[in-house]
Amino acid sequence: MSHAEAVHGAVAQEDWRVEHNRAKFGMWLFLASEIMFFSGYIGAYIVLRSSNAELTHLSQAMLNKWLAAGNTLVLIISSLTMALAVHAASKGERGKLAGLLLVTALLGTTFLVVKGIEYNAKFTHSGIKAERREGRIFVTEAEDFMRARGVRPGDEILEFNGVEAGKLGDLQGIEHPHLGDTIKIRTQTDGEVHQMKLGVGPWTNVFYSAYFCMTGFHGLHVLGGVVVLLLTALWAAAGKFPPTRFMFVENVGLYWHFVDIVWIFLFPIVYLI
Amino acid sequence: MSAEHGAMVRTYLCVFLALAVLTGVTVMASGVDLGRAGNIVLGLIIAVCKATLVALFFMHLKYDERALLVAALFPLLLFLILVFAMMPDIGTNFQPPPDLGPPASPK
Repeated sequence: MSHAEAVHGAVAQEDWRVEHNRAKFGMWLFLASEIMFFSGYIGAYIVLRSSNAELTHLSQAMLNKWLAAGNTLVLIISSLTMALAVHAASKGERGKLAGLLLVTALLGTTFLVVKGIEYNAKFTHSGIKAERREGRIFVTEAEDFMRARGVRPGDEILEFNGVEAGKLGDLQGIEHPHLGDTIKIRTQTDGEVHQMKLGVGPWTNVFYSAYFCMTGFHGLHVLGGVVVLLLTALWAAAGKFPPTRFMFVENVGLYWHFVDIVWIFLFPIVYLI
Repeated sequence: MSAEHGAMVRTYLCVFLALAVLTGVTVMASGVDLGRAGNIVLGLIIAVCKATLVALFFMHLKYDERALLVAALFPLLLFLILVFAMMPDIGTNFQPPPDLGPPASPK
């Protein structure tokens, strides 16, 4: 190699490093805006739970912390595979890069499936039991979160999904509802008739509003990440990222680790403490 | 080159192990009664440690230029200002505890 070629090579290398850092800096600015996005929700959550300590306590106790802990582990493993993927990219190991990106995407999908199972268990948990007496339907048991909504044993259920109590078949739907099922109930606490959505969802109380909002938006970020990871894996397999031009992979990595960090905070503040 | 390669992979594995152990610790610590404030502080300290590990090693802040570190830390300052601005609201708008009625009577 002549001296001129060597100098040219060094300059070219300097160039891609500068370009690389510029792209990374842009990504960090985007992540800064993302941090503020989640800060808004976390800030609201701090205010809401500090003014509703009892409600927070009884609602939090209903969450499945083991599923969430398992999910934390899944995300941490995916962060490891992502870091290894970026490392493989810097070494120009194309096959390894594509494989590790795919594994990361699969782990992200696992996280979403577990989240879905968790959400579904909440949506189908009515927290009340009912029985029929002389053609009318009465609540026999109510869990604390339903009591906090004003429901008491002995309250009369007038309608389920718009069907009058007298015309209802079995009471399965009331005790094991689907998402969006509603009842019309006369509560003794105020003597009024209320239309009430069954199941545990954002409508249940302020804690669950915050819970679904924060974990939901985090889930959407994971979903977006999985889509981008799959595309990146395809491009990597096609050889789009030579060892001097892999900043896209690195930025995808930064985003993915950020999503992991958000969960690292959400897990304890929502489920544990 | 290869030695550096191995060192980096080893670092990642160590960070991963530390994160996994800290996850276990945070779950166990939440079961120990340290008082409400004690549990919250401990949980947050562990979360900050985990996030720092991810940011420094997986996100390469330890090896990157200082400017990236500044870009990463600045929003944390903003977050602290945000929480400080909410101070008047925190703990002052108490909602009464929910009325759960009498405990279910035995049949």
